[in-house]
Amino acid sequence: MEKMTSDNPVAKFVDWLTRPHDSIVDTGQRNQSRLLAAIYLLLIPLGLIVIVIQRIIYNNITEFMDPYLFLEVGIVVCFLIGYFLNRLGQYIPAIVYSLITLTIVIFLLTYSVANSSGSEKFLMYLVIPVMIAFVFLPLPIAIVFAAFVTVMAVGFAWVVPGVPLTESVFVIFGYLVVVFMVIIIMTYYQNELSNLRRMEIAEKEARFRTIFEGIPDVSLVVNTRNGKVFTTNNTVTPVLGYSMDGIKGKKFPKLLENIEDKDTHKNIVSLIAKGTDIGTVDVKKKDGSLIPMDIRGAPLPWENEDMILVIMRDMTERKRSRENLMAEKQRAELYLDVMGHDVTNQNQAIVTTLGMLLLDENLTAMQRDDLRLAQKQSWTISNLVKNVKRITQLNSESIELRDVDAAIPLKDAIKKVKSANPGTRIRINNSIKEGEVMIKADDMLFTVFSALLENAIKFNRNQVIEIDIRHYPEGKKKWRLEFVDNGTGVSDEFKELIFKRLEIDAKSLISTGLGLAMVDRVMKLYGGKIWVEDRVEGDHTKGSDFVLLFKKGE
Amino acid sequence: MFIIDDEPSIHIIYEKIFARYGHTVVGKAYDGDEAIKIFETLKEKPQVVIMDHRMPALNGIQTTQILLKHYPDLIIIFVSADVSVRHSSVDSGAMLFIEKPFEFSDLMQSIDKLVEGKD
Repeated sequence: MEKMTSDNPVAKFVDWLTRPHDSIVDTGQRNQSRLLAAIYLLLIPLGLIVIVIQRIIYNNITEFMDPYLFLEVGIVVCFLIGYFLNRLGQYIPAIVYSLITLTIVIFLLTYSVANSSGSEKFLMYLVIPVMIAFVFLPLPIAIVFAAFVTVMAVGFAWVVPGVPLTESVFVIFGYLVVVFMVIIIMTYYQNELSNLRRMEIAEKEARFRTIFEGIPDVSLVVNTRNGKVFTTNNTVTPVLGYSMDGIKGKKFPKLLENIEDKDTHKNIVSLIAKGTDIGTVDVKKKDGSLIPMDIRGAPLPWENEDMILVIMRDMTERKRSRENLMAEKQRAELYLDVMGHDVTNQNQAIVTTLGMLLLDENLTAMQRDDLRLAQKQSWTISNLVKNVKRITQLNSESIELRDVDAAIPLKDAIKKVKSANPGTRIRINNSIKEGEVMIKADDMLFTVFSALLENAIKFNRNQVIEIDIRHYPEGKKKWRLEFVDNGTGVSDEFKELIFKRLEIDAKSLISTGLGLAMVDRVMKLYGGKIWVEDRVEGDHTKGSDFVLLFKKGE
Repeated sequence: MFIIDDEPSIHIIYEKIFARYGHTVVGKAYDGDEAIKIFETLKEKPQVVIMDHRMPALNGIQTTQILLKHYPDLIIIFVSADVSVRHSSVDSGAMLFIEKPFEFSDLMQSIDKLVEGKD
């Protein structure tokens, strides 16, 4: 019935007339609603035909307006009400309403017929119930019913016409017919509903099974009442070694081994049902060996039972990969640490030797410049090693913030960059005095300041490199520090990109020193922020203004 | 001066450059154990110890603690590439932590200040 959507205009019209209300989404209920609409659509014209036949054939036209007319028209109106009730989505009230209406109809007709002549009785008993039977009942039942009613009606009408006692018997017979029909109709509906329900359940089960079997992890349906496995998908065989039937009925907690807490182990099913993250646990395979599995679950709606769906993912490979990765990482960090330490030691010897040679007053200016260049290169090597170590530290360690006097690491950083760039004229105006700017930071602050100063020196083509370091309170909880330089500046398209180099190209970060990307990372760990503006608004070629926001210290 | 560092080239260079700055190196050791033993034999104890951290056997912090226990007036200056011990070295009693590599002139300035302060 649901698929009555051909191009035939009559079929389309009938489809429209019997279309269930949109609020009825259940397929079974939609079918029942459509059936009820069809019944009403047949009963309404039938009722009208009965009225007309009664008036034209059995009464003369002057008696057309007899008292029964109102009742009969009322019944047709009742049919209309039933139809519209159903169309408005009230299909269950419509069913109840239709049964009550039918009872009244048959009662009235029976009463009416009992007061009529014998031939009328014959026709009424023959026609009305048979018509109703053909409307409501499946064809074979309707035929049997029609035959039965015909025989009974003909028999009674012929044998006992006009006898008051017999008329009473007719009334009783009418009631029996009503009861019989109601029982048959209800049974029919019940069967229809059961069939539809069965089909619906079968359809849902098929859908669930398809999804269930498609899950690549071991999936179990577990009864929360007794903790037993109710059903499973076929992944259970390759992963745990059980057949699908073999695991059914097993106690789910017995599959889990290394949950040390007894209460957790005992209540594992209810914990999963509550959505508790169990994490990775060892699950016992059929052969007794253990396999690490990540266990997750959720309550699963199931008929008359409380079930949970448990998904168990094999973590063997992932665990092995993670262990290998950790071992590799530790090894790499160890190599880096040892190499960094040794390279720095060797480099210290070079830097010191060069420094010692520079003490010689007899050196020519060219010799002095060459030695300074060599010394600068040594510093670059050391910085390179330091940066690689810091990148590793930042990726693997959390920062413990403390109150830091910004003036101290800044003073050290200024001293360091000045000594690392001998021969370069650097003028740094630092407004920050000791004890004035306390911020939340750690030892990396020195590196942050050094990187900003080195950056300002490196990207500057002026004879005299000028750097102004300013500070302002930013609200009550922050300090704003600015490193303003007269360098080459940063054009608008690179203003954000220069802080993202770490994500784009780690190699370039190392080759260009600590890099602004690292500064950005450290600032984020500090709960602060860094960005760059033009020193002269709108003209980036006049230099940069690096702005840092720090949380205030005590 | 007393130099404790596991790098032989550092010993040679430090000795030369300290001499250039007018300081005398009274002893050298390649690790903490050796340093403690040599220290006991020294007739003239040094004023300043230049201490590395990462060394075989006793590390810099352990050596500092032992030395200061016996010679509380010592000025111990940590010089290390391992910045993770910056705070713990000072906590153990070192007067200063200098990260490697460093400018020797900076080290000399620091030594002079610390010695003057002690005097």
